Amino acid sequence: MVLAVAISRYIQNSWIGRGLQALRDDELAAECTGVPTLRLKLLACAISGALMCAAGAPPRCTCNTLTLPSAFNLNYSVSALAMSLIGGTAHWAGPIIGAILLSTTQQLLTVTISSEVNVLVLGVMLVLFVVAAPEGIIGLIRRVRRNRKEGEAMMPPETQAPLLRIIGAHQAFRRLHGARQCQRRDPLRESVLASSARTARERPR
Amino acid sequence: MFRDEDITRLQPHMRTRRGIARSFQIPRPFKSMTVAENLMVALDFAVATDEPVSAAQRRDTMMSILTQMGLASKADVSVTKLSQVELRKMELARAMATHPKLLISDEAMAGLSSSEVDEVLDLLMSLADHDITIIMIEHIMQAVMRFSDRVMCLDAGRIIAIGTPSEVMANQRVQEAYSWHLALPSMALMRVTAL
Repeated sequence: MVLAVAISRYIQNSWIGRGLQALRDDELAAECTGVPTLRLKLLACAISGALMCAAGAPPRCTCNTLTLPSAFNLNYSVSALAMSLIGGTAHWAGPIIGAILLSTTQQLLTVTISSEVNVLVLGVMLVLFVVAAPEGIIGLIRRVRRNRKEGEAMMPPETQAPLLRIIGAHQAFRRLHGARQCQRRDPLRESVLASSARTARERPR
Repeated sequence: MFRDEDITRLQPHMRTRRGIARSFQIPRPFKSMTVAENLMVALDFAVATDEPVSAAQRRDTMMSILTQMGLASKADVSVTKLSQVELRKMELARAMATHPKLLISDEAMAGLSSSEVDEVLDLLMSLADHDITIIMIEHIMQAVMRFSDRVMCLDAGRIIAIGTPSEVMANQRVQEAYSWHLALPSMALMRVTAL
């Protein structure tokens, strides 16, 4: 597992990762930028196949008997897919988060309720994530971070003071009464004044 | 044929590595990346050198291209935040990062305002001074007249005139094509410096 994480982390930060990301965004543009798209797709397929084989081989070594339904159960493929989808496929840490979350939930459900409910919950979770958060948990975290950053950028410190201040008013019968004084701030005018003051200061005498 | 080599059967990425770059009429950036990362893709894949290039060297190359394009301050900005003219410049910068000998610019100025057309045109002219041959496909006459050494005018897929801009503009068939068609005929403009 450590090897799988190390490999995926290396790939994401290397030229292979950049190529695959470009390929996912726009295949035609990637091809015209010099990315060998077919070769990269084959490479991605081979590496992920190898990692899945490495994950599947050890448990079989400990088994004395091997039956088709247990070894090739559809649940294995679906939960492996669900883990990366729920965690997020665009970052190496996504499948780890998904795996921890999903395997814990599955174990808990199997022990406390039943294995049938476990499959049902897995299906529902998969549908929910595909519809509501197609980029998985990592995508959700990124979106929240981006929104917060943009929110900060939209609100520079000088506009945080109230734009309109009404003094001595009260509300009755859904109307505002008795406003003694209105103070309105005009950020645009303030910025013009500030810049002209700055120019006046910087002007050589 | 490109530089004495038949490129008909070559895959697009191999043509890019041979030194042919293109920009798209409708910008096609890699949307999940920043401007710098878009250029890094080109530097990673299109530039075939035998010597290993360090990350710092590539960063320097990338920044010099971005500075030339006037996008240095936007290096770490996501491409989704760029304006239309900045996207066009980014397209040209990404094409430049492949170190082309021939740049095919497909209507890089379509839909831009007149001052923005001048801005992009100045950039293209500065590229032509760096020994890059540019084939510019364009309808905007302002750009055609200012930019080209040789003009080829196509109407419905046929070459109807070829020569210097003033010769082509004086050509009777070109004038007819311009007056008859609401959709203007394509102009392939060439500024030949290398090759």
